[in-house]
Amino acid sequence: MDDEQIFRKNRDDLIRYAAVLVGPTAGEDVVSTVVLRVLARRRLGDLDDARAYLFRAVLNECKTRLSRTRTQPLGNVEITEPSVDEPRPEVFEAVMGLPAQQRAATYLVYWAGMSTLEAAELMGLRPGTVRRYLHLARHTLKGVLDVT
Amino acid sequence: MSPEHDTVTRTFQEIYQRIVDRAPITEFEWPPVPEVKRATAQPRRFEPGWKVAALAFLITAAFGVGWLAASGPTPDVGDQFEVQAESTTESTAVPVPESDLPPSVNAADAAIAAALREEPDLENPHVTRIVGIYTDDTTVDLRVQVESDGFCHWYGVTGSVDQDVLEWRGGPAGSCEP
Repeated sequence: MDDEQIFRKNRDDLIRYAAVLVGPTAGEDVVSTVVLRVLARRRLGDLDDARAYLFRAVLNECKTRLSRTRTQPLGNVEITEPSVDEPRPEVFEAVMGLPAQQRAATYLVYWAGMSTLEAAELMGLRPGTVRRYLHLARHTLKGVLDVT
Repeated sequence: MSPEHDTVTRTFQEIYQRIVDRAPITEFEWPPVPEVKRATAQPRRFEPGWKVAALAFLITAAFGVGWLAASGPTPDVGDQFEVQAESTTESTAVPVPESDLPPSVNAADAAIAAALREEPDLENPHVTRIVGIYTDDTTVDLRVQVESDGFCHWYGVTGSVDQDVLEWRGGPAGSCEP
């Protein structure tokens, strides 16, 4: 598989992943930046696991951007009055206020449907670390949801 | 799973679905074009040579003396160096002796992220020292001192030409070295 095919195969997943981490409008820019940075040094096809490599690189880039701006990506997402089916704004803020690693873990496991082992491989972490992030994120959200 | 567990999981799913639905995905381009370039259409391309020059400038400013001048174009294995880290928000460029394109390691930001990951309640962590040693032609071992509330924590990393993926290992808190 050549570099273009690898990118084409993983691009949309990476953009969604980045969007969850830095906000929907910046997701595509993050992915383009990361891929160009990788391509400046090597071919995607030379990587042992290009998909995992790109996911980790996107997470690192998102963390760097968040640390530079010191802001959460709330400004990129319109928060409207909640309908019956939509989460309340404070719940939305709580999720977007989670550390990037916790958001990444919850996104990969709860939205993308990965196992903790699969998520750990993509994030370059031990499964136990991912489980800890899930626990911390759930604890935070549970407090906001006030579920018993 | 308990109803409480289901509620929390479903809430995560709904919020992430909303974000994903709002994330614009433009037509596929190869090679990809960053949004900022697409919007501004800058006449000058971001060439590797420009990147090397910028990195050399940053290193020169950081060290006070030029890295290239101090240790030659390709540092020897075993060479040690120290980077003055004064900011927790700006990138700290650290050279890796790759012959054609020395990448940078955002050591300060990465070390702080590692510190906060291991100890989430650290207050105002900031990098006070970065020291390193070249271990072979393409890698460098870094030790980064993160200070928080009067205590110092050392974090280590092995940097290589694949700088987009970093593995940090934490160290115990201790006294701050001058």
